[in-house]
Amino acid sequence: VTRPEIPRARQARLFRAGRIFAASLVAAAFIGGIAAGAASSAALRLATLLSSVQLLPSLAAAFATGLAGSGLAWLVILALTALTGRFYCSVLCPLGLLQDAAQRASSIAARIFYRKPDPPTGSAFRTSRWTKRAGSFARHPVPVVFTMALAAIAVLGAMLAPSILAWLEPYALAARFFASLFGTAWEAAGEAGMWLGVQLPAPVLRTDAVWLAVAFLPGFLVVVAAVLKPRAWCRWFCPSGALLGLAAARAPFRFYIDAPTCTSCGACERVCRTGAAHSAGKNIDASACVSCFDCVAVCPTGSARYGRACYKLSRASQPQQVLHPALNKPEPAAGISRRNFMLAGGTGIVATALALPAAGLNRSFIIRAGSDGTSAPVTGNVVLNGTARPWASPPGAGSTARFSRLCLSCGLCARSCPSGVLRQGVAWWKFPAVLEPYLDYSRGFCQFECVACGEACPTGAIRQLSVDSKTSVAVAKSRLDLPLCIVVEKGTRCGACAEHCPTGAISMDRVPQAVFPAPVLDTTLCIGCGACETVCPAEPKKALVVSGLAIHETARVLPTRPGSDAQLSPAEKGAPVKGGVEGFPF
Amino acid sequence: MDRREFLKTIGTAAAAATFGFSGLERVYSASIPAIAAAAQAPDLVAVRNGEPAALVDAAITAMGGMSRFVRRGQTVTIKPNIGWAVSPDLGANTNPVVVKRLIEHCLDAGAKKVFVFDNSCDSWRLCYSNSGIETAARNAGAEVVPAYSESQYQAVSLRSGTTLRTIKVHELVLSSDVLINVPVLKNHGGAGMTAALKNYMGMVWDRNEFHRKGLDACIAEASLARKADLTIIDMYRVMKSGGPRGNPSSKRELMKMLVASVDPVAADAAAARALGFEPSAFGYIDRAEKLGLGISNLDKLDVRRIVL
Repeated sequence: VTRPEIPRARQARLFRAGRIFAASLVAAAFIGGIAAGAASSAALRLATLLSSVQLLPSLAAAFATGLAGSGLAWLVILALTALTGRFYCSVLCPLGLLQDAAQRASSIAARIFYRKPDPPTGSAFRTSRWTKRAGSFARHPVPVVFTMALAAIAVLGAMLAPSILAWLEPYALAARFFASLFGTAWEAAGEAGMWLGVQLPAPVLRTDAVWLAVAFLPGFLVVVAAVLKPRAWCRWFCPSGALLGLAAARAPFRFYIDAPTCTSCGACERVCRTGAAHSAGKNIDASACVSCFDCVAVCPTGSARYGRACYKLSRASQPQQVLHPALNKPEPAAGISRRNFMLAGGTGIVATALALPAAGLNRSFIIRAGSDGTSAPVTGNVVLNGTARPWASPPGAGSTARFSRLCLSCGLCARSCPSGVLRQGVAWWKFPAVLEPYLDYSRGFCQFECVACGEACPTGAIRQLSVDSKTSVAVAKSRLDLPLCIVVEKGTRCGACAEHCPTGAISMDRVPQAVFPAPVLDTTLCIGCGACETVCPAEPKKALVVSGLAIHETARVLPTRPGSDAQLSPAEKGAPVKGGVEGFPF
Repeated sequence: MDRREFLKTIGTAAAAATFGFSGLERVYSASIPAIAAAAQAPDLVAVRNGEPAALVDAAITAMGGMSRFVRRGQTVTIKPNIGWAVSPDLGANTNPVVVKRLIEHCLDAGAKKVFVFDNSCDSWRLCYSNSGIETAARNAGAEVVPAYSESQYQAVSLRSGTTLRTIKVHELVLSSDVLINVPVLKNHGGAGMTAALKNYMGMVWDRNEFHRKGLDACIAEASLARKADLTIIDMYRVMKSGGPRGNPSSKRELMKMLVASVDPVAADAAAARALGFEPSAFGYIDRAEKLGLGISNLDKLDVRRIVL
C-alpha cells in the first residue's frame, strides 16, 4: 500500500456511502408512495415520478404513446448507461435496493447470531454446504447468450406484451412486494391508530390473502436468492439488467482495474456483488457491474477505480489466458462477440415468439393499440356481488384490450385509488396477467372527479385525463333489474342509487310497480362508476349490476345550469308557500 | 379546571352520590346566565339575507349565546354534512364558513376541544378536502376526525325504537359533552329532503340498514341514540333537485338563510317549508314527533325571525 493511494480509498468510501444514501432515499420514496399513496398525494406523486423513470415502464410507454414524457426516460437511461455504466441498477431500481438491503441485513444477522467475522460479501449463509454448491454454480459466468435472450425479451416484451413482462420487470415486481409487505403493514398501523386515537395517513385495511401471497412471493424469492448470492436476480433473471448490461459493455467511463498496480489479491472479486470483478484477470466486466463502488472501497492498492478507462490499453496490458480460479478454464473475456450477439438476439425472438401464443390462450395480446382504443375486445367475466359480468378497466385505459396490452401490473394505480374500487386482486380469468387491476364494485365506487389512477400509471396504460373529460368517460354501464329493487320488492322508500349517482343517470320516479318513487335509469348518462351498485341495499342480489365496456364510450352529459349561485327564476321557484312571515317561508 | 369548578364538581358528585338524584348534576352545574338565556330564548331562530358568518352570528346571539350550550372545559362535536367530494359552491355539503364560525363560537365559549366528523358517502379524504370543511375547521381550531373505521363506532340500544333496536353510532356522538348538528338543506332522492334528522345517517356506521328497514322509520329513530343539543340548518345555498349529491342539472337557490333550534323536528319543519313542502310531506318528521323528539307545528312555537 503506497501512501498516495489513501485519499483515493477514502474518496471511494465516500462514493459508496453516497450511493447507498441515494439508493435508500429512492427506496424510502417508493415504499412511502406505495404504502400511503391513497392517503397522501405528495407521497404518491414522488413514487409516480420515480416509477416513470424506470427503464421498461418507460420503454413500454414509448411504444404506447410515443417519445414524450415518461416515454423519453428509457433513452436517457440507456444513453447514460452506455456512457457511465449501470448506475441505474445501484441507485434507481427498487428491486436492486431490496436485494442489497436483504444482503446487508443477513450480514448483520450473521454478525449477531454466528459471531463470526463479517464475510466481505456479507452473506450470513455463505459457509453452508448448500450455498457452497450454489456459490460454485454462481461463479460460472452467466452465459452471454442467456443475457442476450433476456435483453431481447425486455425489448420485445415492452413492445408487444408488457403484461407478460409484468412477472419479470423489476420495478413492478418490487412495487407489488412493497405493497404486500409495507402497504399492508401501514394499513394495519392505521387501523391500530384508530383504536389508540392517533390519526395516520393510511388507506383502509383490506385483507386479500390470495393477492398478498401472489404479490409477496416473487419478491420474497428474490430476497432469499439475494441472501444466498448477492444480486442473484440481477445476474440471472432481470430483463432490464440484461438490456443495461448490453448498453454498458463498452462504457468509456467505467469501473476498471489498473493492471500495473494490481497485485491480484482477490479483494475486489470477494466483495463484488455480481461477479463482475476478476482479480486474476485484472479486469471488471462492465456489462455485469452494477456500479456499487464496493471494489474501489476495498482495494488495498487503489487499483480498482472508476473513471475513463482506455479499453484497448487495459486489455493489452492484461496477461492473456489467465485461468479462472474456480473453473480452471481461461477467464472469460469482457465484452460480447458479434456471433454471440446474433445468437442471443435470435434466441430472444424465438423465446418471445413462443411465450406470446402461450399467453394468448385466453385472449389476443398482439393487437394494435389505437389511441382511440379501437382494438379487439379483451373479454372475461368477473364475479362481483354474486353476479358475473364483463370486467371493467379504469377510466383513461381506452379499452380493456389497450389496457391489457400496456399494463405492467405494478399496482400503483390501485394503491392510489381513494375508494379502493380499482383493485389489484388475483384475476385468474386474465391469466397470465392475473395481477392486472380491474374495477371491483363490491369494494367501492369510482370517485367522480378523481383522476388519481391516470396520474399514477407509469406506462400510460391508464392515460392521464383532465377532470372535465374523465367525468364523461363511460368505462361500464349499469343495468337495472327493477323487480329486485327493494322499493318494488319490499314496498319501502329507498333511493340510495339515485342519491349517489353523480351524472343524474338514475332518478326517482313513479312507476306502476311501486307505491314509493322507484329508480329510473338512463344508460346514455351512465359512466359506470359503480356507485349505484355499491350502495344498493337489495339482498342477496343487487338491483343494479355494472358491466364493463370492452371499449370505453363517451357518455351524454346533462346540460349544466348556469352559475351555481344563480337565483332561481320565479317560475322555477314555484308558488310561494302559504303562511310565510316577513319573507320567511314559515 | 379552576378551583371553584373543581369544588363545584366534587360537591355535585357528593350530592349525587348521597341523594342518588341523577338530575342534580345538570341543574347544579349550569350557570345562572345560561339558565336565564334558555328561559328567554325562542324555540326556533330563523335568519335570512346575510352572508354565512353573519347568519351564524345572528342566530347564535338570538339563541342566547353559545355559552348557553357550551360551558368552559367541555368537549363539543360538530357534525356537518361532508357527504360528497364536491366543491363548496355546489351546496352538497354544509357551507365551510358556517362550520368555521360555529367552531369559533364554541371555542370563545370556552370549549376544551371541538371535533368535526362525518361518515361520508364518497371517499372520506376527498370529501373532507374538496368540501373545504377540513381546512376551514382546522384553521378555526377544531380537530377533524375521520369516521371510516368500524372500530370508532359503538352500539347503542334504542329503548323506544321499534324499527331500530340497536344502532352503531360514532364514539364522539356519545362521548362529547355537547353535540351540534349542522346539516345543509337539500332535496334528497330517497328521503325527499335532507336536513336535521336525516343528517344523523352520517353519525351511524351502517347506513345501508336504514335503506333496507325503511328510511322514514330509521331516520326518525336514529336521533334517539342522542338528540343533538343544538341544530343549525345551513340554507345559504339550497339544492332543490337532483340531491343529495347533485348533478349538472340540479336546481340550486341562493336562499341566504339559516335556522337554529334545540328542537330538530321544528328545525326540519322549517326546512320543509323552505323547500316548498308541508312538514307532513316527509314521513320521518311525523314519526320523530311521535317519538317525542320535538314539535313540527311551527305555529305552536316561539319562532324569532331576523332579517339582516
